[in-house]
Amino acid sequence: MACDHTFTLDAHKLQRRYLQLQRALHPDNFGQKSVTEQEFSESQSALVNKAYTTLLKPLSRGLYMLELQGMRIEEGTDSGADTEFLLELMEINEAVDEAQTPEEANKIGQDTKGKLADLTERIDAALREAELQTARALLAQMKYHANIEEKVKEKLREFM
Amino acid sequence: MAAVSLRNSATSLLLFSRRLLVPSLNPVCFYHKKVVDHYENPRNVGSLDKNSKSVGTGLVGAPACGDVMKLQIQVDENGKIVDAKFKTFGCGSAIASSSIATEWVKGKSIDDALKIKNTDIAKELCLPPVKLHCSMLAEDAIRAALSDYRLKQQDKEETRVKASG
Repeated sequence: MACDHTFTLDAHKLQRRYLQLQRALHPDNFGQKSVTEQEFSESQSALVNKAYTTLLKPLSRGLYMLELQGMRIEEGTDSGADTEFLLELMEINEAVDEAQTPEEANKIGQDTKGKLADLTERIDAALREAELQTARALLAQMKYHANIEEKVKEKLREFM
Repeated sequence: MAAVSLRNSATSLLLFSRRLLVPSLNPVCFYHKKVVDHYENPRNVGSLDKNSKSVGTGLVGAPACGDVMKLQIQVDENGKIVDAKFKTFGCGSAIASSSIATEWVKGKSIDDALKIKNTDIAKELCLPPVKLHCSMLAEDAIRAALSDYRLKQQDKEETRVKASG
């Protein structure tokens, strides 16, 4: 995808590259070609899709960069999470659940966006310094907040 | 074939965003009916007074899926769990696991409650292997609640000793 091996990324450049690659690789271009070429086009174009979606979002991008270093967030209970943090998550989740107006939900959405932006910066710094443990802990926090962001979106749709 | 791929090309971007916007359309397709039952009619949802000495609160999270679970128990003077409540923000399996966990701990002694295993919860709900960690989260929540309760009781004991000394 011709990306720099950094966490911060130019989303426009990524999108341009994605469209450029798909223009060349897409199965539509190979309708008249041999079966081998068609199969190649299908698999390559699917790979490009996967690469694009992985790199586009900070969370999946960060997790992928960890994976390249042989690290991942383990399934199961977060033994390292402190109670304060979990309590905060619980409260935000409850607030989303109980939000009565789109404004209330929006407010939480904005707060969450701010937290995600802050986490993105800190993850970038950690990955630059090759502090992988820190990056992993921050990505875990990001996952919780990304879930909240999704719930806010869901909530806002209910108001529509 | 050509028509299909043409449509794919036009909507590949769209599809991605739509998938993000519309999570799990219909849980009935993927989950066992017991999970759906506990998901749709969760038992014991709510909160107990976390400052009460007779209440133990367990707060756990699963970073890989971003689920958070709170499970609380109320213990009477005989050491029996008389009430249990939970609040879980997560997938259907996590909700169902914590719902069933609250049902099971009620009426048990602390020691018996500690014997509840995630594998029993998973078996009861027929959770598929990829969802086993959800029942693990429920087991860990029970343990966390019990240890919070014990800690509170110890503190109470210590204050009593200090007060009498």
